[in-house]
Amino acid sequence: MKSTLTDPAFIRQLEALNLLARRVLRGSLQADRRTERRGTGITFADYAPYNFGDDYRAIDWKIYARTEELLIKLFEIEEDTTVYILFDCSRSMAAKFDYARKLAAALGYIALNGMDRVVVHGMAERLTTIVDSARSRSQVFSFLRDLEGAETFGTDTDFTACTRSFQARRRKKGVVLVVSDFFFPKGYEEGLKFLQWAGHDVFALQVHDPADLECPWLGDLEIECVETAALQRVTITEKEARVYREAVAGWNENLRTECARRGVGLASTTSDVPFEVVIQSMLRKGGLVA
Amino acid sequence: MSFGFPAFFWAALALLPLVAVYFIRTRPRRQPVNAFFLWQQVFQQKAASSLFQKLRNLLSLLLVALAFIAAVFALTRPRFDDGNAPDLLVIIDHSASMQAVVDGKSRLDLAKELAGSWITALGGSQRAAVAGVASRLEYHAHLTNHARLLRDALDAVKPSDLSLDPHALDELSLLSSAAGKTSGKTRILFLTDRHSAAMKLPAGIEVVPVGGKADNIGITAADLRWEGPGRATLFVSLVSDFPTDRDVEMELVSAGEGTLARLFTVKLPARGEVSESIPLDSVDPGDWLLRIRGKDAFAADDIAPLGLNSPQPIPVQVAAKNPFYFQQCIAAFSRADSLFEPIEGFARLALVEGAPPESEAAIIFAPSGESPFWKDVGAELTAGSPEVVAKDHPLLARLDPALLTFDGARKLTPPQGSVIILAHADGTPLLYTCSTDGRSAVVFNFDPARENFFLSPWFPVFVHDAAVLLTGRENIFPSAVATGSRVEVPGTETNGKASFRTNGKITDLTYQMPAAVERVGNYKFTRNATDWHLGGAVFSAGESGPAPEGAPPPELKLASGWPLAGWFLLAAVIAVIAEELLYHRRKVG
Repeated sequence: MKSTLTDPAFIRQLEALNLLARRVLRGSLQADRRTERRGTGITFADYAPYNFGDDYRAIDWKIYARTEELLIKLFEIEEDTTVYILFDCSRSMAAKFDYARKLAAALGYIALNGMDRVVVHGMAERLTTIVDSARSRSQVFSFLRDLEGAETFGTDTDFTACTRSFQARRRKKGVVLVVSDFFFPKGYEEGLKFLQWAGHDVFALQVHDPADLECPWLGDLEIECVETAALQRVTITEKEARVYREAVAGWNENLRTECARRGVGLASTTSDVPFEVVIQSMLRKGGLVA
Repeated sequence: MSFGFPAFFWAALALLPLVAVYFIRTRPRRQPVNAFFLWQQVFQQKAASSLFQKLRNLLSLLLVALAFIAAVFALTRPRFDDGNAPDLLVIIDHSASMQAVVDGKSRLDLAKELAGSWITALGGSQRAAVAGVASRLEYHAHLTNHARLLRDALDAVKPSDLSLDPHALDELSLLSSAAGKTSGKTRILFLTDRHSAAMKLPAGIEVVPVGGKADNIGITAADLRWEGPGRATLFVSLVSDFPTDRDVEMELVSAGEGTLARLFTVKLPARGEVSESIPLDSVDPGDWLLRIRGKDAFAADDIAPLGLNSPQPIPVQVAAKNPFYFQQCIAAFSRADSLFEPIEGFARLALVEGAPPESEAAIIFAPSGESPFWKDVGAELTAGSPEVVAKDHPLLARLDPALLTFDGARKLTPPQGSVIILAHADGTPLLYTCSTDGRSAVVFNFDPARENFFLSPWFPVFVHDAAVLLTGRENIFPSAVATGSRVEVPGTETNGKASFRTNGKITDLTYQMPAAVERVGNYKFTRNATDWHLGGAVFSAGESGPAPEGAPPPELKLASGWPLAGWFLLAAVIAVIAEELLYHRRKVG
């Protein structure tokens, strides 16, 4: 049965996760997203020599009294950030689509409650828009309804083409969260590289169906690609099953290596793990850890 | 047209799956997968690395070629020898000991399997004959190369409870000598476990031992006999083929209800024999089973069915002027072994002084008066030692005529057809038997009252022996006999009814005198309305005991198993099936 993202019980779960996020991130102002840019926030960041034109109110007079040097205090700017969720809507996600949607909903919910802007795009052979732009708590329900209306589509997945299309539409830098199984036949390296090149903070959330990792079927089979409907008659023995498991493990290991190399945060989960456990784990780690 | 191995027609059923593989459309289960491209990688990698995939088509060609070549070779009927192998006469010992089980199979089955492998290996113009031997040699198939006839003949060799007759193969001496003269045209092969009484085989017979050694204990003799009213003695003799001393627990149970009458232990030396007599109180007549408790290789000799027949006293009336001594004699035999039953009135047997009554049989002392058993009783003869006329007559078996004087004998004339046993010097019969008008008699022509003859030991001997002679009780009916024996059942009817009990099942039989006892079990014969119980048992130290010592017979060199053509044909079939499997794999993917 298709889950409802606007179900009160689910909303309560999201709210609980949000409270946890508040406590973990300890943010309370207009935007909780911390950046490296220095500005007029309240969180002290560093000292810098006073230059002409600087706000003299920022001069630390106590330092001056001790050292007779004019130094100004720098603060971290706390600004609103755009969270882009690139949501894999290819047919290979069908088995874990609800699960992935809940994860995206939770992350979007937390972002909206943190006064961030949330944009959700669907990915398959092309890029579609699921949530054009949502900001503030008041748009939580429209965000969830839009996400709820998302469907799988397409006959292929082209991650690189989707990222190019995304960059063409969204120039503003932000946090890009890719929710997918990362089973991209044409690869994921180009897409991740392109997103980083565009200046986004990129995070990958890999969602698997347990059956994707194992091979519970043996014997004479006609395997069918869920995306392209291509068929192939094969005989799967324990040996072939083992080779497949090794291939999946190798694919995921390559993804992990690529993300680590590029500094892309990565979290992997399977759809049999409760989604709130995944979110809690991510929050406790302070984000997506590569 | 007939077929040597018609059972192979069942192999034609293999065509069904072979045809099905070709005609049934393969429709494997469809399985949607998310990582199709990974599966493609897996199978591309497999195709690239699998030698089998690369050579699959070449392998198909090789298999078809192999099948064809093997079939051609099979048609040529190849042989290792020159095709002049001698004919075979296969003789299978199916005596009782061949029932012994070695490694889960009876020796007889092992022998038949071995013989079957020889028959399978027959080739060219070679022929075989099959015979079985236990108490006698029986041919089941004469010389032929027809495999099915020979196999049917092997099947016809059934296990028997009979012992192997040491002379059963003597008739082969002519054949074996003829075979020797014709430069080995026929080989005579005797498959046996070598458990039998010592036998000397005619020259030219090759002994093929089967079954190997198996530890066994067997009953070689048993008897159950009355010792007095309600009391009996059980006699048993055992032989052991075990290498160590053993305590053997034995039980005597009634054959019908299985009621235990006696349980006892016999100490049996290693590979030795022992006999025991066990007194029994309160036993009833009927069928009994003497069994060895525990298991050994040969089960049939662990049991000895026994018959205990009711005492059948002879009703005797006494007709004498002075009956006292006659009555005492009758009473004494009645108490001792229930031979006589004294009757006051008319009885089947009369013990008479003078003229006899109208009884069926009579023992007559001092003949006088009128009787169909003599004529013209005249003057008394002079006493003296008699002349023996019928030297080996049963009535003289326990008698020394020289010690008898026949005092008081009278001149008389016996009826025609009488058997004169002792006679006076003048030819007057002193002891004779005669039959007339369906009545028979033993006549003692002397006066037993003279010279205290009543008190002499000869008086009861005369009475006893004459009585058993007149009533047909010369031989005591046995309690048990060895299988293969023939038994004369007391009575006068030509044929009678019988029943046979084994393993709790009772089967009706008809028999002719003498009755043949061929199986282990309890027999009940009915003759002249009297039931006689008898046990049939193996009772053979040769069958149950150790095999004779000595050098084993030389190892036999004989082709066995499938001929080369059969193996080539099998190779062709396997190649075809392998190609069929390859075809199936190609269809699947």
